[in-house]
Amino acid sequence: MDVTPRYLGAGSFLSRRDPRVLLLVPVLHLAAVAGIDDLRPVLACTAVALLYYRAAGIPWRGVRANWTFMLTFTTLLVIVNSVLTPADTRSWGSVLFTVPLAHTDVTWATLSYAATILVRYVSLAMVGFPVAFAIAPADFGVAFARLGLSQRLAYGVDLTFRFLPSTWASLRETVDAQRLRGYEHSRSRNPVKRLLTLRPVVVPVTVNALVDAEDTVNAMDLRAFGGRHRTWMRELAFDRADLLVLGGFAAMAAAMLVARILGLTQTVWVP
Amino acid sequence: MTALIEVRDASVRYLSTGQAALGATSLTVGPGDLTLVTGPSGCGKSTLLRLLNGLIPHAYRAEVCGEVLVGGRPVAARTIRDISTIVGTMLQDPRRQIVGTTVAAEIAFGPENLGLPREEIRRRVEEVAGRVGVTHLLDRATAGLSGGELQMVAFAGVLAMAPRVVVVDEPLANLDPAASLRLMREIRRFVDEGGAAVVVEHRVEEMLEFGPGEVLYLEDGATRYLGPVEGFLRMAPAGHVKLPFPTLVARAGELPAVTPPPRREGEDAVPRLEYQGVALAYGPRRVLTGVDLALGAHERVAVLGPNGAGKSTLLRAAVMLVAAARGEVLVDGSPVAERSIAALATTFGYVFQNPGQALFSATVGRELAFGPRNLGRGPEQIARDSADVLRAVLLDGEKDIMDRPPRTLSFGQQRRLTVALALVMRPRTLILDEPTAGQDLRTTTAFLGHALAAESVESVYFITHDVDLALTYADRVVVVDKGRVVADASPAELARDESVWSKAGLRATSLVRAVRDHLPPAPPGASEPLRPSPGRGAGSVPHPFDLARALSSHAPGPSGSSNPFPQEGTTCS
Repeated sequence: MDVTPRYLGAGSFLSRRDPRVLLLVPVLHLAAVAGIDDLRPVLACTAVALLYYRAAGIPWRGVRANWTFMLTFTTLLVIVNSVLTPADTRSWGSVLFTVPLAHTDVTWATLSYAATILVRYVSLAMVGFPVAFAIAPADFGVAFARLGLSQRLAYGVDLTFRFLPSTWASLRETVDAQRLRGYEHSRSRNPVKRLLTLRPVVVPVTVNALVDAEDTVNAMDLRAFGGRHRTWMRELAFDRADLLVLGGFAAMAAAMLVARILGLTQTVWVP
Repeated sequence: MTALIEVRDASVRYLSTGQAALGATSLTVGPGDLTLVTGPSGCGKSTLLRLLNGLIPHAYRAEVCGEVLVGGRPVAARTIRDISTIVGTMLQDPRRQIVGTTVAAEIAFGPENLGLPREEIRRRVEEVAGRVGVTHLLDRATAGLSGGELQMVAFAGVLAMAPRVVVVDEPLANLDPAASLRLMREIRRFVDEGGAAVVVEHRVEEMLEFGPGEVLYLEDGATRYLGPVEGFLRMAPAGHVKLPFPTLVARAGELPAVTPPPRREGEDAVPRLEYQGVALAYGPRRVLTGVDLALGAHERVAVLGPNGAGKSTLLRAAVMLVAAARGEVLVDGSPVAERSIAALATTFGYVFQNPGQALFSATVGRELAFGPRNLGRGPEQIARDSADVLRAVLLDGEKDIMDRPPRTLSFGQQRRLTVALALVMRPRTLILDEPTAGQDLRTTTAFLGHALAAESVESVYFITHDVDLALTYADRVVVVDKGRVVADASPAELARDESVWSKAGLRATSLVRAVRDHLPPAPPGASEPLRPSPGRGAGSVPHPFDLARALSSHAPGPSGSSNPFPQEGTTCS
């Protein structure tokens, strides 16, 4: 498994945006779609999210596995939470069928609400994926710093991306080293026992990471890290396209918020 | 001219351990100086570096006596940030030093921290990238760079701070000879252009080529020598630091006796490890192709080659840490894929480069028991085997060794313990991955001695960058380069093959040249004038000390008119 950050959307419209745009859009989109029970406005927001996602230019083959995992996980979550155990207020209308074993009545309202939740998750993924795949890894730190995070925490984000691959490599190396000593991960059903059998891997990886971190902290100190003023070589400035994208999502969030306050989107839509 | 660094009778005692790490030491470094600091592991070299760059007293709790001045002012009165504009530091392992996700971000890191204007930062990034030849890498992710590239990028990151002196910790430890040469040339150029450098390195021979003006030799925290190279070569303990071969010849009379490790004889009817048209890959990334090789059950084989050539991958296939994408890997004549991990663990003992990679138990006793217990061995047998292997690696003399936490052992002891962890599985072949990287000559000799002398072990295969180590301890050397096996010969044959030394990231050492010049292939039926160590086969190279003694006894006399070697204190080209 490769955990190196993948900059799949390089060169796309979104990758040319100020990275702060890509960090703020998911927040605005979440504000727009949260708490809406009506499928229609969620579909409208999702159409906007789809356009946004297409603008990220992320190749399908690069994220096929991510989408498969995301769709499988959210579909199961929605089925369990919205179909198998629906709230009474969302199961009105004529019963289409009853789920065996769970004895839950499924109506059009149940299905519509489940679709709303699923589509909401998908739309959030559409605006979230560009954060992972269309922001240059080196831009995260400066983007967070310019969003008001402290210099140390912001650079901590950069360091995470820098050391994720090497920590993963260290984990693999340790697993290899222990396998050659006959180590196999427990297949026991007892979670405590399973956790304890991870010790031969977790302890060396953690201790090595701490030892390495001391050198890294020294190396950073020796290059003057930690001063009050720091210049980020990458200069960030919103251009017109950035402001248009942000303005569009802000307007959508505001509109949906108003609609929610007015009670226009709180009813489950049944065709 | 004002000295850039002045150390006046400085001594250091760490408050955390209460131990004195450095005795009264003095050193002056001015513009144009290249100073070599050398000595065995634990001699105080790293502590001295920490004094020079301000980590002591600013980051480590230590009692410092004497005086350390950087740029004419005491380090204690300056901040590390302030000192970093004068003293640039390169750590031994660039992977721990590099913090930027891309090369450009890494080089810019220091100037960014200094709060320089963006234009100035960009100018410095372009300038130093061009200077050290990494401009083509600027947009690359640092995670994907080779060891040699990482080292050059780390150096560029240091130069971008515009320091006046660089202190460099063991620059040759993790690099193949060609990459080391590139880095040291850059350091030399930095010095020639008015900078200064303090290089900590125990591989003295390689360093002499770059003309250090002064050598500081430390032992047990004390200064044993400070002065010009010539004097150092006359006094340096030959068993502790790696000296040029001509120096060994000149000092042949004082060289310690060498006892070659015993070897296990036996018939090699079936190779222990055989590759038949093998290609090895990690996912889509192919590392080695077209490998046809058979390693004997009673051979000592060294695998040489540049960083990233596929040396480790080659031997990892023996224990199924990488599977063959094409062809077949056979162990004792049967496909490796058909063997269980337990069967492989008792055939091959694999010792990883980092001793901390596997240590997790509360005590040495439990650490040793972990592997055999996984194989289903009983407590009595485990206790017996544990005691045996600790004796084999000379750790049995340590007080309460079985009850000691493994990580409280010194680095050298931890390395020996990793050999013990492999031996306690009772393997027939030991595989050592970079067994001596960053180790001094004495530790290297002791470590390999233990590994080669282990009772149950029939064969040893080891991966190394150290050409002399390969020539001295192996019966056979396999050279890997650019994903292929490019040479497979006895040490003497390899030394004589000049074409190998101009390729494959290798450089001919003075020992290689001595073998080439003084160990001609013996004609059929004739006796060789200089025989290899007892127990080693034809084509082997004698231990450098034995070879130096033999050549010295053949030399005509002190006038040296016909002595084929350069005079002491000079380097060989």
